[in-house]
Amino acid sequence: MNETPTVKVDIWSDVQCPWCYIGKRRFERGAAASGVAVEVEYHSFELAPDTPVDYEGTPEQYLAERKGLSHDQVRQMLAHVTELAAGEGLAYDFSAVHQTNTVKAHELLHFAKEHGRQDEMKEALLKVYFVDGGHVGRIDDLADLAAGLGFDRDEVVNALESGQYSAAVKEDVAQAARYGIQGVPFYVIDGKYGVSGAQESAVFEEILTKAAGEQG
Amino acid sequence: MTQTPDSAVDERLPLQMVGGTALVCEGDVCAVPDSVPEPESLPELDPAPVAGRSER
Repeated sequence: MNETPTVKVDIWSDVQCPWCYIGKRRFERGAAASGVAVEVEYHSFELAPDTPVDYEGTPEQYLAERKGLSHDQVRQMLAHVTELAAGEGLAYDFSAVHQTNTVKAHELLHFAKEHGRQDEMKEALLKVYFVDGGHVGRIDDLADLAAGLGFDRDEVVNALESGQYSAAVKEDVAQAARYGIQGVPFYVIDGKYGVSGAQESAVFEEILTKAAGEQG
Repeated sequence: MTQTPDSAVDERLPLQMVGGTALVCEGDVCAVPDSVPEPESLPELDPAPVAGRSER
């Protein structure tokens, strides 16, 4: 009998997904409230894999161009997202966001996972994208970010330039398809329960408690 | 946007869905609800596999 069960939580998300950062906060709060030991593993999900790394426009321009929305509509959407993020203590600044391709950021997350520091890297990438106005698409910028966290910059550059973790990213995407995941964030609890979206923390608290109880 | 290939549909792994769907990004659009409902309690588990799309 396992007296201190650990619940495995697999989370599919993208670095440029505003709900994923909000969901991360809500999940963390729910997990803390549950008192359940959790093992979290982040998985790659590319929301817009065809976005150029050096896309020059703002998120407002991007959404207006891609979705045929008016700039007023997009501004209202982003203002609403910003307001919801603020409720979680996250100071989103869409005026500074660099819309980009996130595949290399996902590879960096796999690199960090191999070093046992994936959650730390996930937090750093989300913060630099939504709050600090950093670039998460270019290898040099990602290497600088990783070096700032204490990783070996040259090792990171080599890993990203060689595509060392490209297959791992693709496998995550394939696994998402096997689960039928169409949007993120998406949480798989102990390989059994699915939670879609940035649910309120109480939802995470309850399902983690339930999953831990079922292990007992 | 990631698509589920037809060949994978029959191989989907079963999950019991919890909590409905809220605040999800699909493709390059993230649903922005006018208001976010407060959950009263954990909804009943849905034994159906993952399916459906988020609200827009």
